[in-house]
Amino acid sequence: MSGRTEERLRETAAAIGETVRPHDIPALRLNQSHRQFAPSPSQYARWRGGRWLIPLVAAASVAALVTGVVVVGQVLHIRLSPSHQHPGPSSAASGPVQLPYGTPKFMVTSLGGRGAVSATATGQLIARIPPPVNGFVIEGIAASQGDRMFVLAGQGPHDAVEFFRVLLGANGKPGHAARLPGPSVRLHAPISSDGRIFIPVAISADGDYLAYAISRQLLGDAASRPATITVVRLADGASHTWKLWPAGRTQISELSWAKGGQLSWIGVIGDATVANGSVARHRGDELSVAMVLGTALPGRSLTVDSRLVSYGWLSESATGKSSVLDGPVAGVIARDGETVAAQILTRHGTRSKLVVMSAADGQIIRVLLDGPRSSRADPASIDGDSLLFTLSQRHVHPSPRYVCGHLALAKLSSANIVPLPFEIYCSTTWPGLPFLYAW
Amino acid sequence: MDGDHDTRGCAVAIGPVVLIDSQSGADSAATVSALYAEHALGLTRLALIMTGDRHAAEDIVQDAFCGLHRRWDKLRDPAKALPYVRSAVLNGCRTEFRRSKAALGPPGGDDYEARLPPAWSAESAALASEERREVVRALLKLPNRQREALLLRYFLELSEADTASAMRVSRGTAKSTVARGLIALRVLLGESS
Repeated sequence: MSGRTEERLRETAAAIGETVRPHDIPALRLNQSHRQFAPSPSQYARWRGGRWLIPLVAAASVAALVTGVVVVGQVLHIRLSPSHQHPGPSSAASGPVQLPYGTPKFMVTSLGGRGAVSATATGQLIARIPPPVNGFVIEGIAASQGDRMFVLAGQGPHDAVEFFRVLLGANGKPGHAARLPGPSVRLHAPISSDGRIFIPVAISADGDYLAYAISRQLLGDAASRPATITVVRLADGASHTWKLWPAGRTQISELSWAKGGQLSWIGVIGDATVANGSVARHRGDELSVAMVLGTALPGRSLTVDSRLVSYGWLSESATGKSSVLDGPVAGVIARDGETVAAQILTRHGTRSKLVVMSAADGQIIRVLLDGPRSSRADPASIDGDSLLFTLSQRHVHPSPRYVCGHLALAKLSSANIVPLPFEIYCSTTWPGLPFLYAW
Repeated sequence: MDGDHDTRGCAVAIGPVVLIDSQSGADSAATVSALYAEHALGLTRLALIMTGDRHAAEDIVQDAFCGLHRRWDKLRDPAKALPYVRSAVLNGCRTEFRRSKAALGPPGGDDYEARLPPAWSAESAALASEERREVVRALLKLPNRQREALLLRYFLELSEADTASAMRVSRGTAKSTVARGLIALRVLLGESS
């Protein structure tokens, strides 16, 4: 045994360790402890399109992306009773969460393609949303400003994507779902999804315009068709479509509206690079982008007519077995169009932040979360100042059945973060039923 | 915690701590806080060395103490509290290490060094010397158990018994793991025996 080895070990470990000084140690916050895992006979999954890029889970493999398997990367499980129930209030919640003023009272969720309305403060199920037509599977949810109007996107029984509007009453009870006008969205190769396909959809604050994206998951990886974003004027069904060149690896994962017809979109563009501040075609590269499309202006090109807010690169990991990403992963634009709340990855995907960035140039204005709890901080929906996102537990549990986190609220103006009583489970081993949500 | 399913009235073994249903530990928060005040620094440093990530290290230690607090009224022997926390920290580090290792890929890759977490990277002021960086690289190549055993013994300066307790292994296993770890480290560092 070498004393020299021991000394070098001690000296090096001490040098690293001593970078943490006594006054650096944060106070113990016992009231923020984990929720104890309450064993449940079954757990079901939630998947959202914006999450499939997160490289922290090794399953985010290029191969899986290519095949469009929707459980790529990260699958969030939500604990439920055995009969595919919608999430009830969290087991750890001792009572209703005190919601800041202006927080939406209701949340529309979809579990395995079936919709429901839940109370934000308690997590209690208020009502289920019956399928608008037989065989309809929810694959996207959008909410307009004001806690009242929601749009469900999904595949119906006729191999087409359909959109329905659901209005909530003052008590949160959903009214009859009404089919929205617009062009027929037929799929060449419709996929039976049980809700595992994610269709990005957004409705403008005034409820007048619907936007949806069709890309990799629905088109497959054949590069013969372009990815598209279509905007529909709901008053008369008139529509306009922006296209992105045929690129099998292009996936648009999230849409959101701001005033003046600005439409934010998050995605990965295959065969693309950035040149002179704009997205340009470049074979072989994959670009992760947050962009804002000016829908009030004429145009047909998704990249030319969109402003680049933030971008990063998707690349193979050192092992070549998985993909790693630097750049925006998920994000929604504030109603005033000034800022985008986004999750961004850095250091080859090993670091995650939930930030508010300028919608003009991507400059980070405020960091809402940094560190392990932001590893799944996935902005999903925004209503005024209230951002809905997923909040990770303080660390990943070693068990394949573990609490990953909750839905959470962030007030953008104050950076106040409130975990909501909707537990989410994560697993890299077993994809369950997908879970979508919006407010 | 996985595995500690409710078995009312029965003792449930979770690592070195035996839990039973009881109402003891009325002022557990104060006790756990005192334990935290005494040991958080050392454990955070240990977690930092093991994960390379300051944020993760702080979180792992916080979680370990929160877990102890949650289970306090089931703790039969308060003297086992510290071993329990150490074990929990090691568990957290293993998880974090697995995660970062998956993102890093194998050592020797083109940009492996550039991907290292902050505390392990060459940019860290603590690793200004090549000699220290060599030690870190060697530690990262060791099996998890050996790395843990070495750091418990030679960084936290735990006894063999305490090392074994934290690792949830027998004293003999801890001893042999430390010995094998030292030999492996010596070889990796190219030092003569």
